[in-house]
Amino acid sequence: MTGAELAFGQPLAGRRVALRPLDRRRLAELHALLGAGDPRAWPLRGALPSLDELEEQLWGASRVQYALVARGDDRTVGLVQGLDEDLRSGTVAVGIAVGEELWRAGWPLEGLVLFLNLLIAGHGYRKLTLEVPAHGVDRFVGSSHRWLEDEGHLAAHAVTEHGVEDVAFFSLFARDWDRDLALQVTGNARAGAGGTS
Amino acid sequence: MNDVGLRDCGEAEVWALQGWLDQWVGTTRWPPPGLTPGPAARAGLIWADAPIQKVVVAGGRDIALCTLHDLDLFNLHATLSWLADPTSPAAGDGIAAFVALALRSFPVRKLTFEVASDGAEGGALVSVPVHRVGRRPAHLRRDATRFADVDIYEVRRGDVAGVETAWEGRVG
Repeated sequence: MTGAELAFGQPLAGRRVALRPLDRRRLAELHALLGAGDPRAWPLRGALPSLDELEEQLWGASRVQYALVARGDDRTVGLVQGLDEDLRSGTVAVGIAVGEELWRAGWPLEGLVLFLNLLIAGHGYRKLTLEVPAHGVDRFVGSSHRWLEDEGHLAAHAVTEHGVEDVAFFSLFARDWDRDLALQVTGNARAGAGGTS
Repeated sequence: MNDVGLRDCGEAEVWALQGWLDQWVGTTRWPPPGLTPGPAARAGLIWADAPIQKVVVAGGRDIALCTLHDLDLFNLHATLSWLADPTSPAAGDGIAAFVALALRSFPVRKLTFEVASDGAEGGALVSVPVHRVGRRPAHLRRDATRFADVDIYEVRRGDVAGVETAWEGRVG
């Protein structure tokens, strides 16, 4: 593993996905990704900002964020962000966006595992929070339930392609994070990534 | 029901905030112990991007600062927050008046707010029906080792239609 594939002693590359800095090339690919697909379904709801506006929005929204990149062809497939951080309480919300063609694919979520591990084992956040629309809970949360705590449900909170949906909010405490397992599922168990769990 | 009024929040209120904080901190548990707000922090309480922010007045005294923020006109909801004198019996009615104003001003379906579960007031302070929709355990640091839970509440338009009418003549 090269130094470029580590941040704060944690791996940035998995078997199929890597976290890469949001440079101008990645921003342009992300911009194209955001502009594609069904405008009713995409969070930007058809109101696509210019590339400069997108860059400004992203930098204004988050202090830690990466492009999700497919290792096979070096293609940008999404974005992960830490949002609304509270350094005093050690909390941060996690946001993820994946291009429409990969919404039903499981493999981009490897990038989420890398990002969660980076936030907890690398940056030292105590607690992460995630919000998921009702239609995505089973698919998105199902396999991660052993780590996530169900904190509640906001009623009729988000308009999606499925109508007006409840939004479930979950948390992940650092104390419950299994770093060894995260390294294992991302193919980093024998790579000797630094840091401690 | 206490007689309350709402007035605009201007520069004078920015400077009055220090007095309010001195008076209210310790009971509202805001800001976190150990932090003394300076001018910038005080000014930060007056939100430039808040669509509505009002001072609640009761008995000729300022008793709360209410803020509507994170207005989402796509999903039709917004967030409510306040800094209130918990010793004032009119604080809940003042927040209710602000809720009525917010629901009359914007076509949102509901307002959400968060309250530390170890706070003096809790969601019960608000004099309108509320729904507790979740709890964030160990979410706010209180000191080196202690964290407070945070309760999440919603105020839904359908539940406060009567309240909105009742407050119609009082909100100004």
